[in-house]
Amino acid sequence: MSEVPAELRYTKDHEWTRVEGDMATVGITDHAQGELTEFVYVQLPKEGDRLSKGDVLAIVESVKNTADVYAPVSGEVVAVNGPLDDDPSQINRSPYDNGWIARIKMSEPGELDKLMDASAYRKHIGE
Amino acid sequence: MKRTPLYQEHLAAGARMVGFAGWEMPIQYSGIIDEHFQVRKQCGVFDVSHMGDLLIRGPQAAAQLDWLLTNPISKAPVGKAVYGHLLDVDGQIIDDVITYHISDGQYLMVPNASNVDRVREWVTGNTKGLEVLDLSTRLVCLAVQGPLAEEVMQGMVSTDLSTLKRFRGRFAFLSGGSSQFLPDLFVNEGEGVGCYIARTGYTGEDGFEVLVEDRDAAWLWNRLLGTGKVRPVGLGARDTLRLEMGYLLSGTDFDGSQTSLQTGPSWVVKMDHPFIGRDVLILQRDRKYDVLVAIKLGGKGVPRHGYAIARAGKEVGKVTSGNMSPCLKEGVALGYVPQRISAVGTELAVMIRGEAVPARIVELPFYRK
Repeated sequence: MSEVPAELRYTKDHEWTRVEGDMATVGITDHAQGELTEFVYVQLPKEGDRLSKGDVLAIVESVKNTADVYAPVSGEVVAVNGPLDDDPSQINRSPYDNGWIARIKMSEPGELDKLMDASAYRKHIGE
Repeated sequence: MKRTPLYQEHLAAGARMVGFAGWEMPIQYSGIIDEHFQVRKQCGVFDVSHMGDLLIRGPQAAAQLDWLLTNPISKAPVGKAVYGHLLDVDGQIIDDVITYHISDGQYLMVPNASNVDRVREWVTGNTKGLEVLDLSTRLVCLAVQGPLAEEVMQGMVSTDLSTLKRFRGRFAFLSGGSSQFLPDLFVNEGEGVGCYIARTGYTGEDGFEVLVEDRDAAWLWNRLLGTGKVRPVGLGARDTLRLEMGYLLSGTDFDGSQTSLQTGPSWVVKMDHPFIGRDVLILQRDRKYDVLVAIKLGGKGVPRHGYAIARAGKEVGKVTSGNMSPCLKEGVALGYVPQRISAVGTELAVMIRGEAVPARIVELPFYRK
């Protein structure tokens, strides 16, 4: 069983979102990191990037695989987790904390309603 | 999908199983990078029972096999193994195989899992009067690889492994194991022999490949893990280990449309003996063709199978194998480029999601101790 914190929102593509005011911090779930296995490279977005919901936010590469991380909400990237550049395995070790990917200043907070809560996501991954 | 006799052992060791060439095989246990370093620094055990085991014997077996192999076997004394390529009539690689002169006049050819049937048919169809026995279902092969391999294996077999050189193998008693190893086939190897052990492998580390009958497999596996020095390693790390050495992956680095001149290594083709495909290679030598080169990334990113290789803004070839080297922590790849730009030191780029990441051709192996 993977960890699915109750206070976060989720997408079917396994991104999580933590909302504080109009800020959304985004990462990928424990389930996703477990499936993709050890990350060796992350291509991060740039601060100032403007994204629509569903745009590619980042690209994560494990030994086995390459996967896109999609923006769960629209807005402007206001912070990225720079230390992932040197140590992408932080996503594996701490997907919801040190492994966060980017912070987005939301332009359409209503989009949050479309995201899953923890129990829906748990169902989605069959746990 | 087929399962090896160690299927339950893999599950018990926490394996994640995947389909590979018709087999359900472990891709990883603790993690690919972790297992990679286990082999580089200590010792790992791989279940490689999915690979084929064809015992070939009969009239002039050695001379007949020479006709099929780019690297002849007939000069190999009993106990020696030879790596070579089987070519079709167009000179294209059918498979890369290790052939052991396992006992007097008997040869054990080990094809890749996906090619076993094709190789068996190829050998049968291009030789006369040879017996080609598929032992794949009777044998388990464990690859025990890493700096501690000799110390570990010495505790399990009767023979002095310090005298067993690379690419040599011999029959041995299995200490505490059963005392039978295909007695119907190897009648002259002495009573009580329990395994065949060879100093071969595909990781670049010292190590052995041990053949035992099915019923000894779980026992030997658990005994190896029980030493506390050996951990199980899956196909994921097998791939990163072989890539760091630049060893070819069948079906990926050659896919039936390349010759041995293109893949190398150069020593694998001995032109001084006749073999199927040789005439094509002789003609090819005077022409322009693409060759497999080793590429190291100068920038960030992970090269993957199928990515374009570019030079001066133009695509010149494709990556066939690529990954982040766990030891070097750099992107490394094998790929084909035209011979005229294949020299070591040539500056190229690998196209990663539309971006030209600088790269250069380097010598193999990527990783040296």
